Amino acid sequence: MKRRFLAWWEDIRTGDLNPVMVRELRQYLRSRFANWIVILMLAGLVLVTMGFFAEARSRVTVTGVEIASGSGGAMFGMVAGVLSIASVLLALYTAQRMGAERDRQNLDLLFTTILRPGQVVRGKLFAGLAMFSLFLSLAMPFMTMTYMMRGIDVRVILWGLLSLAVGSTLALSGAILLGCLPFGPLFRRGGIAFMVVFVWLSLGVVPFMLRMGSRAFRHSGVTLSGWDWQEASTIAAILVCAFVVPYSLSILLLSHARSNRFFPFRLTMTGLWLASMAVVAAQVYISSGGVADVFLPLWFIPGMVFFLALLQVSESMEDVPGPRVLRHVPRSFLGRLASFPFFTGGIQGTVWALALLVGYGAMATLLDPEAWVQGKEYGCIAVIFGYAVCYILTARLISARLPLSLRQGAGTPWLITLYMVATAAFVPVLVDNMRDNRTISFDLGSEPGNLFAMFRGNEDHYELHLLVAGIWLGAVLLLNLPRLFRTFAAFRRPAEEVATGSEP
Amino acid sequence: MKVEVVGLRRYFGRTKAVDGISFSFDTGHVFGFVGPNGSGKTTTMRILATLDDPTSGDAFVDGMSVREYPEEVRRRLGFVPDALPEHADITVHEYLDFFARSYGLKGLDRRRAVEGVEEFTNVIGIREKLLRELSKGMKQRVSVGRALIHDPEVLIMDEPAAGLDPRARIELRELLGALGERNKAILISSHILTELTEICNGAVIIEKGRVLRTGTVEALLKGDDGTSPAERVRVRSLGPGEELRRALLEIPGVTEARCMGNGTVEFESEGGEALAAGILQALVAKGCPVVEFLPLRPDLEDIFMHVTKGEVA
Repeated sequence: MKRRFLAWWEDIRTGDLNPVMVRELRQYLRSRFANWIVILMLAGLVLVTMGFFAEARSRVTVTGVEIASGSGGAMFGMVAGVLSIASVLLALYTAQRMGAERDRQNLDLLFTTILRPGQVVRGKLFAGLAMFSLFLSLAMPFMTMTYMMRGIDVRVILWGLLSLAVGSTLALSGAILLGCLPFGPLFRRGGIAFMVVFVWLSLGVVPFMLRMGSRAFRHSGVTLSGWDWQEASTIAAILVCAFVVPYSLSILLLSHARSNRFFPFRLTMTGLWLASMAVVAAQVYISSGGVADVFLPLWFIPGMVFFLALLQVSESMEDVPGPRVLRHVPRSFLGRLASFPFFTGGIQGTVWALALLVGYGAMATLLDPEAWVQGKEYGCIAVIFGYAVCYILTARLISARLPLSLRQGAGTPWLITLYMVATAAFVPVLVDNMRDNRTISFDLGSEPGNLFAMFRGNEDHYELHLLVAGIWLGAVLLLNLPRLFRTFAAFRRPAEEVATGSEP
Repeated sequence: MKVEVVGLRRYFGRTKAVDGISFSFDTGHVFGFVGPNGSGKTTTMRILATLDDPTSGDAFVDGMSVREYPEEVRRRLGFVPDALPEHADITVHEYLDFFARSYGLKGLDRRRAVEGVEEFTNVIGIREKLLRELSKGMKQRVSVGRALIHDPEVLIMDEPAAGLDPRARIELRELLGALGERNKAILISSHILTELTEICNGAVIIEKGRVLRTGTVEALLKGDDGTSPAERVRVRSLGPGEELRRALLEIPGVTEARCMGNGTVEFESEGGEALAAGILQALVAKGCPVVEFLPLRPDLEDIFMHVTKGEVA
């Protein structure tokens, strides 16, 4: 450990930093787009400052929270807003560059070197964060001015900066993931524009800022004592997941299909899931009065969010572990059985996800025996996961019958899945509305096969959904059974006897 | 150091891109990799460069399997793709420096490696230029420099001369000559086969993912296996070409003759220089006013045209 640290420190001292980070920073500094972001940000900050100087005692309301007890507080909000916009633009640019690099197969050349996918992702992330630090340092004089104008204390400023840093990190890791997804440039650009803003707004700065605004600004200080520890631990768990999930997904999307690329991801997800379970268990134990309705589903989110099941199954469908990977298959039958879900491959992914779902069901019942009776969330999680796996396995069955040119890569199952999701969610609703000549209302919770069932509060539909999802899941699993046996067969023989490759 | 390809197969569904290829070459060899488009050259080279995995079979660089020890192979191998991928906002020097870092070179070693490669590939004058501003020939030199940055003993070059103008092609040939002198093992695919004849010591010819012919260039040209193309001779007479063609076809040993215009005829014979001398004597005896009699030496292009049918996998 000490030797590794010394080697790392020596690298920093001599300027031998992550190669991707160095290259990215050099490119950022030459990039016209990055320079425009800086210029526009500075212009925005100057305008904000001039505005506040012009009207020194203004009172401003942001998202319903009055934050101006002095003009410094209001101005800080505006400065943070300008910085946030710059961060989002930076994340968009990072995603665009990552996607372009993937499209032009520059990454191929990178992987003829001894660089690892993790170094590439970290390099991009660190370069983005370095740029964010540059933005921050440029905004520092304006932040100092907010303090001098009164109405805000240092702790709030530091808290705000931390929020911005967290938001920026999350946005960057989400953006890198989007750049790594196996879609065409057009689809990716649209997705990037939508998702970065969505991820950033929903998981990053805004919840923090709002919480801070409502608790801190009113009293001219951060009052963490007002926070429930359960609430704080849950938010912290969500933030950790919001970073770790896209980070590990990006690494696996860049990894070679013959490496056991899903192993670190599944291990991380299982670890997160178990850690979240420990937090929930602690909450149940300490409060000794059961757990609030909201916590169990939150625990479920890290491991079971539907898109992860879609992604990991569809992405690894064509994965065939290479000889290096197969050497690590345990020799004992039980060992092979236990390790099977952690090896790369679509079927292994399905087994892993189902195992986690069953584990979740068992633990949820243990921790909160009333869970299945009282809460709609528990049923809806099973529904949402069931549909997610159904969609992707059905898409897989369809795409296996398409011509080779269409089914290479993971893009096709993804697109078929998205088509099925959209069809199942919207077409029945539209037909229903057109037939009855009613005003269109998207009653998204009522149609069987609808992935968005969880967003509706109508508990009457869950039994129907559970039935449909159960039957559908059973059918597709049955149809995929030959594949499961074929895949598992490779794990039944000792590693050195395993034949690789397949005859056409 | 030896590079060995053993029974390599790569299937994409039912398409056999590479179907049981085997060949080997050694340090100091420049080995030509020849085949029609879609014959499996790039797939084989990508497997050697550890960018793709074979369906079965294996390739070894210095005894290291590309499937089992890809990282060890990467340290010993440089790969030059057919085109340098686009990189925005980066200079030649920064690009080479980036790859030196990516191969784990540090501090002074890195600086020396970058400067050495810049000098060897003659890019010192353009080191501060952005990559996107370079011509294709310059980019190709940078690409070769990138592949040489960690001083690999094996170099895999996929169509390095594609799209280059004659001057850039000559420069590349000189560069390859200099590399050959540095005792590297080089595998190079190219459509410009006449140039390969001059550069290469050996060659492998593939079609539909299978090896048709392999060996040293001399052996291939001599047709040691008895399947070399027929010898061609160009004859020019002062009389009409058609008359000369007819006269040639009457001489035993001449298998085919074609009028090339301007009194010139190219004929093929299945014999050595003695037969050619006999044919010339016979022509003179027939009263043909021969002013030029030139045996055409076969090159890789002739061998390639002779053994391949232009089929793809």
